[in-house]
Amino acid sequence: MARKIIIFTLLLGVLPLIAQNSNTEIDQEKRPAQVEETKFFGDYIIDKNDINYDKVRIVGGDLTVYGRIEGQFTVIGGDIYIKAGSIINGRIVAIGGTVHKEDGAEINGKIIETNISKGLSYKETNYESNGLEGKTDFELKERSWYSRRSWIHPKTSWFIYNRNEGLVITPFNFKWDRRSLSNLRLNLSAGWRFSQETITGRITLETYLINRRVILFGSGFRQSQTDDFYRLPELENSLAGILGRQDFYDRWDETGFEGGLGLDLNWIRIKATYVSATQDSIPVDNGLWTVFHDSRLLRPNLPILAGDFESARVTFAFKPRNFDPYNSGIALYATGEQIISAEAYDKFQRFMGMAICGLEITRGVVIRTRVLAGTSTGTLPEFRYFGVGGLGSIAAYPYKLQTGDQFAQINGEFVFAPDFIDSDWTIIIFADAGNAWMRDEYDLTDIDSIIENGKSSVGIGLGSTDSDDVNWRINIARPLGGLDYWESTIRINFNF
Amino acid sequence: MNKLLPVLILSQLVIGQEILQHFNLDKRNHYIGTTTYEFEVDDSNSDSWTLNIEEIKGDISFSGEPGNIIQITEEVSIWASSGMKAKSIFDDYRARVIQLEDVRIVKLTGAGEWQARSAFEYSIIVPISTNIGVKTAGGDIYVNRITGEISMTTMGGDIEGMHLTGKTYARTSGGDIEIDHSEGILALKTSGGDIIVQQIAGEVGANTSGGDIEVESVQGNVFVQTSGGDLTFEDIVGTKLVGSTSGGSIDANRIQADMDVQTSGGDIEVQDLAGSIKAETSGGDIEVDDILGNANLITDGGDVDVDQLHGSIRAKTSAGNIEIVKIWNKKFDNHDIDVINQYGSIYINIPDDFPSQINAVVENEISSNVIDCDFPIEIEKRFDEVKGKSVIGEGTYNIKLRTSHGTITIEKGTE
Repeated sequence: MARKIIIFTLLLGVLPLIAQNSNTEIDQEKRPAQVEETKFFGDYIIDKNDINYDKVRIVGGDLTVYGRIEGQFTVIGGDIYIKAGSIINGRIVAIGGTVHKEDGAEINGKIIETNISKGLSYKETNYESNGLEGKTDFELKERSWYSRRSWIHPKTSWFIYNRNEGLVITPFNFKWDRRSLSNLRLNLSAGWRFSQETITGRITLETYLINRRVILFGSGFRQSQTDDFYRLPELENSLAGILGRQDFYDRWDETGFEGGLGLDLNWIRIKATYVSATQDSIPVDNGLWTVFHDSRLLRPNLPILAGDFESARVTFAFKPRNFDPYNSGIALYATGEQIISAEAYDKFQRFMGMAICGLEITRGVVIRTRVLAGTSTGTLPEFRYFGVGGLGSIAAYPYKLQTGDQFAQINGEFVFAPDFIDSDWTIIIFADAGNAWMRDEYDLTDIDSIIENGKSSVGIGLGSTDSDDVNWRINIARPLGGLDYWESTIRINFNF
Repeated sequence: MNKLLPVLILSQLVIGQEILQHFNLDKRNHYIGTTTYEFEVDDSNSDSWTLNIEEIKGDISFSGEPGNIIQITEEVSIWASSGMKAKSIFDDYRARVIQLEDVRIVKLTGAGEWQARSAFEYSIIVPISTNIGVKTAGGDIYVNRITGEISMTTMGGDIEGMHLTGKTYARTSGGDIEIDHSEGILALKTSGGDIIVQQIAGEVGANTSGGDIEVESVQGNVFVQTSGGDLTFEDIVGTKLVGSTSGGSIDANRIQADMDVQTSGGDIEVQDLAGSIKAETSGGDIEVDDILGNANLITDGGDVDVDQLHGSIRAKTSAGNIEIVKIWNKKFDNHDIDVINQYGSIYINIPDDFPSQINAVVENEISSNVIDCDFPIEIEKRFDEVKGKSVIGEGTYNIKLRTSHGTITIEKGTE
């Protein structure tokens, strides 16, 4: 039986030919009825004594002729070899292949050859006259992920949890823009603050101009604001709140509207905004539920100066698309705010800049550095002070140990990535330093004073990491400068 | 709930806000370019047109329609950061179509090489008598209602055909093949998928290097082979059914053909067979039920169980038990029974008027109890074997039973 199977396998490629007749014994005086057949993916040979009267199509195979052709062969996707001594009285058509004719072959019939891949060489029929023109439509089907997400009105996390707002659920995150094809977009985020039992959200109308490089927008909003966004992502802060009754943001409420201009240059974005709104404090909810540490005291609010204000805010961001914490690269962020008028405090200007640099010194080992600096003019209200100390700033020190209207901070870490460790683990050795002070004490350029009055710490982290993200990390840090204790922290993001 | 909530929060961290996160998003838009060719072909003589397609990639579907219209629609999806780039790619990589009147060929040729961020799809309507030759570097092929000859090859996709009445050759390097409701000759080959054939009037040949083969409702001969899967046959009417698998079971039901099946590692189960059977397994059981024909059953390690056997049988196992229930159907000339069991027991059930000569041998046993026969039997004991001989009626048919380290039981049946 095995032999039958082998024979069958060999037959697979030639099944369409099983009805084929052998021509070797055809009586030349009696021309047989013409047989039409198609042969797929197999070579076809007409032996020296064979005379072929049939109409044969060969698809994907070669034709080799030693004998005589009285019929017609069409070879599609294969070459034709006409050997010396062969006689072609019929017709051979080669589509997509090449005809190789040896001297001594007798051609009384026709050989038609077309080989598109080598340029036009169709000898009997003009290619152009046979090339067909189709009806073409070309359209934009869907914009990119980049274009479908608004950076003017980013999607609000559906879950936020902190000591001021308590639980904030934002179930409505809509955008309407004719399935991303329109240059006009209406965004709506709407949620509920459970601690204050109030609505929170934002509605934004954007229009994209000049190849979507320029964006004009206007928003109405009621949302909390913070200057501490750089310390950790909001969702990680929410997790700290629900697990450990901790909150690493100081925040206040702003209700009003804003309008402005966005400029998108791929790697660079600039956003200029005029804001007219009312600021107010959000009371601390001391009944905040937590899984652990339910007796931990919540940090009180900074003294928020409530009232209407108008301001101009400008934000600049630079980041290459392939920037990632495990490779060399640089990202920049800067924001500035000019208070035009305010009911509760004097005009001021507040600026903050941040640079994140990574340098892969060898495969899987990266030196990462983050430098932050902030300055201000006028009289900065206390709730807008810069602060250093605590998570996302200088590890192992209390939250906002130092505050002032000027600040400088540097974070550095040696990252030994999974590629280097040869496992899913990441090891990080890190050091933090920073100082916040009042302008009348010394200038931002007075490095000696900053170093002298600054705080610093060192630490080590061990984390589980996959290729895209940090799953979790345990940091152990201790302050420098005489203090002798260790502080441990669990992070679920990069330190910065 | 207290523990569930943190888990829900953790699940959100993948979309956690980050000040510079938006920069990471993919900036490529999705563009679609569609080209439609529609033209009439000369149908003034009986010669069929041939549609030859090559150097393409993507899914392709053919549908035969009455008339003489060919309509080819090529849809190219392109992901690019601008419309200008996308249009340039579209112009460079779209297929070209030519029509050669004198040889009655329409040729569609793709670019032969493709951009990484592009995808192609073809939808083709042809006169039903069109011959089709298609080679695609990757994608599914679907063909419906074609009476011409078809050759289709894909380097990585499924092939599906329905209502095909010519010769059909289908080959894929990495997908399944399914042909339904068709006629003619089918030659099907896949290097890594299943083959399903249903409702066919014609010859079926199928070969897969790594999948199952199912053949159902076929009027014609069937030849199938798989290097790593199961074979299933149902409702086959033909003269030959040949199947082989290197690593799977064979299951056949309602077969009208002579069967020749082999597996290198699995069971063979056949029910309701009108024809002879030759079945061989290198490691498994053989079970045959209701067979109108002769049987030749060999297993290198397993049981053989035959019920309602109308013809002769030759059965052999290297280790296992053999059970046979014989029907004396006088339409058949040969009713010989030849059973060899190298390690195990033999049980046969024969009609009480079954004219036969029984020769039973149990090797490596010395007790006369190892042969249990409902018919009068003469027992002969030797130093290392026991023999039994019996003649029923005219002793027309030979019953040879030989085993080692087991017993032989011969019972009277009712038929």
